[in-house]
Amino acid sequence: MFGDYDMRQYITRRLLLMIPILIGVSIIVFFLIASIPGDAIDAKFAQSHLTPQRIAQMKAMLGLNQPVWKRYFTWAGNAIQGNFGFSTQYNLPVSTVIHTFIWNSFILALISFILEMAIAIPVGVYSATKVHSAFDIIFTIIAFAGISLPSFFLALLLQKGFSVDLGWMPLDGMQTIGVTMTPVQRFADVCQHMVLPVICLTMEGIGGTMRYVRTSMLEVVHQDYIRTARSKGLPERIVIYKHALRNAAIPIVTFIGGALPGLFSGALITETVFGWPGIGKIFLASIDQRDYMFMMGYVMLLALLVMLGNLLSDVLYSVVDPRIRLK
Amino acid sequence: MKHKNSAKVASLALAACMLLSGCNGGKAANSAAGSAAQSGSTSSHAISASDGQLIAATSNKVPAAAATRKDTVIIGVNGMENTFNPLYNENSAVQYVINAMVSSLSQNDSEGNIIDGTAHLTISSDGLTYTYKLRDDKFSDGTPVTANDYINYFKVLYDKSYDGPDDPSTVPVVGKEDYTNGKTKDIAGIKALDDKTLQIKLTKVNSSAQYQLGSSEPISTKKYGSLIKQGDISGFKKLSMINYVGDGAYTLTSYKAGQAATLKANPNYYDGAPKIPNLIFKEVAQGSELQALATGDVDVEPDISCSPDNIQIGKTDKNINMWIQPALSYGFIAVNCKNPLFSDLKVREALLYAIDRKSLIKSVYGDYASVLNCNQTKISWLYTDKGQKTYDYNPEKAASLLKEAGWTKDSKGNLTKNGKQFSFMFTATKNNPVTDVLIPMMINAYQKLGIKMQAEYVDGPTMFNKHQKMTYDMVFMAWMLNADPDDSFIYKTGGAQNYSGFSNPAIDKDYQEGLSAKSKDAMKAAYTKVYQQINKDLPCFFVYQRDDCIGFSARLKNFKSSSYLGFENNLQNWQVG
Repeated sequence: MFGDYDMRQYITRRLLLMIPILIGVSIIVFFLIASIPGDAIDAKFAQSHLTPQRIAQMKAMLGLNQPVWKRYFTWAGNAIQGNFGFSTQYNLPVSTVIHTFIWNSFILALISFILEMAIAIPVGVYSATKVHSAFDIIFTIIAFAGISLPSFFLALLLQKGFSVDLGWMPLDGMQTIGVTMTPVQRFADVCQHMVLPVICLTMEGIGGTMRYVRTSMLEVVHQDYIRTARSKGLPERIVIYKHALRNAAIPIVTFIGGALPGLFSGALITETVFGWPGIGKIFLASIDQRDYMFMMGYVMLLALLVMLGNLLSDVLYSVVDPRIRLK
Repeated sequence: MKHKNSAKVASLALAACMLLSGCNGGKAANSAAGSAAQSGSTSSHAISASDGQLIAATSNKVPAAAATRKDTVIIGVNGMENTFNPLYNENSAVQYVINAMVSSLSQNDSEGNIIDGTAHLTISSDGLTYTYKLRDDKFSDGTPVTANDYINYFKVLYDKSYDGPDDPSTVPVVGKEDYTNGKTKDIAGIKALDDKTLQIKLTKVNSSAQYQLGSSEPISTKKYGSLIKQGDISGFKKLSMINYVGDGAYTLTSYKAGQAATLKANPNYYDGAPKIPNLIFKEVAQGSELQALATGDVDVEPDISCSPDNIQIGKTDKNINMWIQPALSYGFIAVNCKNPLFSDLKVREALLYAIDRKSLIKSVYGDYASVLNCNQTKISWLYTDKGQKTYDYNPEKAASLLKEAGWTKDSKGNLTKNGKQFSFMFTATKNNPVTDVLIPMMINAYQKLGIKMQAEYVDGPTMFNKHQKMTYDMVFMAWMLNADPDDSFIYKTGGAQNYSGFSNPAIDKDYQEGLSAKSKDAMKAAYTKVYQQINKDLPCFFVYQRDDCIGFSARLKNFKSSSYLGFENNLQNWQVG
């Protein structure tokens, strides 16, 4: 497929198109952020004894006394060279801060996503084939419960039940602190800490995905070509899983592409309740602390991921549906 | 003032955003000249059982998770950042760690008096020469600490490129500016008379100098001297603090962002090698503090708020001790005195009389807070309520004061004067336990007087910004305090943090008197006048002084803490059993 000249051209064109879009996003976001009252120095030293002169000095050291457009070009000039500046919160390069936390969020989100798909797709397909059966109704209820339950409530419930009351799971954090372990033990330790947050995230997301799959399958199952397949005498299993599912997979596959940025954006509430050192909390703190450099770096990363996700969706769409020819 | 980041579900607010974290505990100074400096009481003797209240654990059975940790103690903190350099930190959680890593020249006793830290202070009778006689401390690598190591600290602080949170401009050390401007290679007023004697000369008497100078920590010349170049201290600023050679009880061995900071005992610590080999400061989410303690996840949890609910939980959980000590802070309502509505003293008095502060703090903090009427904590040796008004809740008096000020109710019941209606905006952050109760109370009370108060909710930095730019009418805030009583930067005319626009030359004079006092008695006399006058003039509405609560596991022995001398300065005697 990728050997296909049209496809390569298409992807290249989309990638090139991303550049002006990213530039546009960076301008809008930069100016929006700059318009929030207060800056990093205000946030850090609001209640310190520093004199106004000293505060002015420190703002000057960070370039905060310059006009916004000038600050933008300084940032952009550095960003193109891969330097996203220093986080005022952490006194570390923005890329380092992101790198420290984002993979924690990623593994949590990835495992949850895989689990979600692994459960939602079979359940959704089966529900669609046995519409209005007991199975279907029960899982519909579960799905809506999952969608409606606020994430912090679910997280706290899981934490209280399995950790505080039963003691089966660790309370919070990514690993047990204060104990030396071999790499294998450490791996098992992290996995154990992941259990509750993953259950929480999966339960939140599974409802929507299940319904989505179910709806998509239902639409396909009533098509004429499915009736044709049945009338040809094909086993029901083949009809559903080979013919129906492959067609229903089209919207599902594009849905996967759209989930890409979500894997890196961190689940703020779940991570906070479970003390998981993810990027969601860091990002919220950076807004609060007016950590401009971090905000810009992270938002640009997300923007890039959103566009890559869209591209991935479109490409997968054409892969799964031979009728589509990307232009 | 140190400050804490707390990024949580909407509520920065809280005591957190305003009660930004604690100041470092070690800034304190001894009595000036004349009266002999207090003899070297070490930190552990300076704390007594009466410095606070202990709700003791009744059982020694601790959760299994904690019991198996025989050589490690875990302390819960929230919101650590990677700023472990003592001269560049203003994060309260990290300050705990720093206090365990380095020691300062002076410490404070439970009333805020200066006592010996790593040195004994003598001040000359003219109040201009401070002589610190160092004791025999050693760095963690075995090198003895000398006076030159302390001079390094000042070389960083006074350097032209220093951009940290400490303000070097407040202590008038001889030759400071010349060093900053590069005119001299050394700071003329700071000399090492010998290895164990540090002498600092001031250009004029300053009673706050002892507190600020006393908080200096030594920087090993042997290891880091080469990083401190005049005009360029970036090498020191960027130094990784892992395995930093300090003279404190512990050394930082690792830091995992968002998770924990791990330290190990310093065998060369002056007061003896700590009995607990490993110390860990672990991130605990806000709201989970008691839970973490109850499950044995942590052994010490310093950030428990003294709400009646928490105290109850602490009492019922048999293996949790709760140590309650007065917080070094006060909550107050900042009032924009430049607003014509509030510029009349009678009006401010009326507005304060209309607030039932006793009921407010009773409902928020139960018995663990009290009404405050001036700008000093009640445990300070300088505190006095002599000659001060108590402004007890009195809505009738409020009404009559407003009338005297020329405000009358119109036909609709609104308070008006010269055709202008009395109406203003109260700016607050969401989910703050105090303003959640205070604001409805005020709206109600003022409505009865015919005053229309509205509330707007913004986030922390926005609120601070409004406060600083003086575009607010009223906000609820808290000031953190430390042993240095000089808060003139808030209340004097044109003070650096005077965001109320308040001005009274008499108070300015009293502050000046306090600063140039050469004896404890003179200081006390001057500050008594300051507190009396501020109490009378109401530049802001003082609301409360509350307690802090530190929870610790029943398995931890020899835990000692006081408001001015936090537990993290006394780790070497801790034992688990």
